[in-house]
Amino acid sequence: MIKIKKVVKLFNGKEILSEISLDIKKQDFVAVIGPNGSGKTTLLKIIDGLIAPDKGEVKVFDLDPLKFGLTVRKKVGFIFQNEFIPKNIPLSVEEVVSVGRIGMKGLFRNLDNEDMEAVRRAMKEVGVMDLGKRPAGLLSGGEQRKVSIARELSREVKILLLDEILMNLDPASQMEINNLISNIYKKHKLTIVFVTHLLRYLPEGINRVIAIKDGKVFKDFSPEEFDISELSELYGITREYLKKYVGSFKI
Amino acid sequence: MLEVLRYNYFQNALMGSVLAGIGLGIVGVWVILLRIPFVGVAISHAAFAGSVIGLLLGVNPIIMAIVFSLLASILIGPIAEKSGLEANIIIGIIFSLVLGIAFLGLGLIKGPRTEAFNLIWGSILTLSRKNIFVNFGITVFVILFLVSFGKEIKAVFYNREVATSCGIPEKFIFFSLLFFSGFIICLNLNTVGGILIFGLLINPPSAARILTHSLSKMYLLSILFGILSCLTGLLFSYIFEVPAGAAIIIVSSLIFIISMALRGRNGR
Repeated sequence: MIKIKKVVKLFNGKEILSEISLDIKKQDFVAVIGPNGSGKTTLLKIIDGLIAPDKGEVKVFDLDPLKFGLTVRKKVGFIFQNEFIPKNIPLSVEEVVSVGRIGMKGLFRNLDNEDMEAVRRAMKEVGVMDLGKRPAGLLSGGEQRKVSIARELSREVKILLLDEILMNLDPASQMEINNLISNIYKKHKLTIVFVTHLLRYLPEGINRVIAIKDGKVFKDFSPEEFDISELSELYGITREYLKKYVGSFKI
Repeated sequence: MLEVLRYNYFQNALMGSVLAGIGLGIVGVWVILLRIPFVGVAISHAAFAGSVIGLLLGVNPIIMAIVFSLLASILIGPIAEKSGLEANIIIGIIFSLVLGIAFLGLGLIKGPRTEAFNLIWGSILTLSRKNIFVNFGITVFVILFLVSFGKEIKAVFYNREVATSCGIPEKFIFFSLLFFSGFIICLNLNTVGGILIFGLLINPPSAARILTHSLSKMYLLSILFGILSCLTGLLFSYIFEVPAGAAIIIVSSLIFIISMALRGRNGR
């Protein structure tokens, strides 16, 4: 479904991704972990065709996401790191969720009943139906994250790219969002790429963990194959500290 | 007092006021929600620099003012994109550049500089029927753009990166918003002048935002407050014989203050 072959990406002369290769299959639920600056966000943006690789080949649904950006992005959902709704935006929660349908609809065509039905279905699924008329900018962090998930669900995408969506949330909200993502995975049979730092809080259903370091795949393993020594090498910290931080990989 | 309505110059001023209220009311919402309020200052000073260069080169200063301000509004988006800096920073850089050009030009002009300064101080009573027709045409175009791309504009206000990833032509929308904002600001420089236009660009949509959480109501209230500011300001200027631009801006500020008070009373 997502094929990345020897992709290189440079920023200011520095290699962020160094000949990285990956093959993510249909209905994979992948956690991507790795230190800050290891190229995780860049990788997601390249998959979505938002930035161009300097070298290498990327195929999503067998299409180059750069050349066929609009076609690819109709089937790929993306929730960005630190995505927030501007406090002063005069839009309701329902209007923000409906942004997901706008790109699908195309220019010069208004959203119709079918679109609004998809919006309401998505809002109901993530549990923000009763917030529909509320000003979106006044929501809490956890509610905002649910609204972003509803926005992408309303688009009926096949791939979901989630970039550190648990950041800045309290533990209860982290658990709630994790459960939501797990349920969405089970119900919609999506392919999900879940970038995270919170190794303790991996959502249920993850069948693959890809560790990235210095722009390369450091290790590609199943959550059961947890090895504290390798993780200690990945993050460059002691095993003792890591044990406290990670706890157990077992889900 | 009604006698003054018979005069062409006052009729033009009234029509110019309504068009300024509509045009600036709409683009004001855009610059507020894109969080680039100082675009008005940069573009009006680009127009000033253009008119100075026009005078220096012996080219029509108004045409040069339009060229410079459109150039400034066209360049903000791509430079921000290329440099990776925020649009607000690029607006600051363009503002300082055009101000430098304007002062350099002023130093080099031998003859009178009144025409260039007219754009900075504004002179609503000197609007010609031709000005009104051009303003009307561009305002209609801006309304058509808003009606045609309303849902995409809404998505860009929400989050430009998300809009792109949802398959919306975000760059086209964002650059068009900057371009039309520049055009409307430049065409309305005669109404209140380059310095005061900032108030007419910011006060009506801000007052509107305070009173509503709905985008469509924000547009309508912003236009209404813009027209109200211009017409009331013009009336005060006639009655009390004070400069029209200053009166318009003070009225628009009063509308903002009243909106604040109303919000306070409603506990919103």
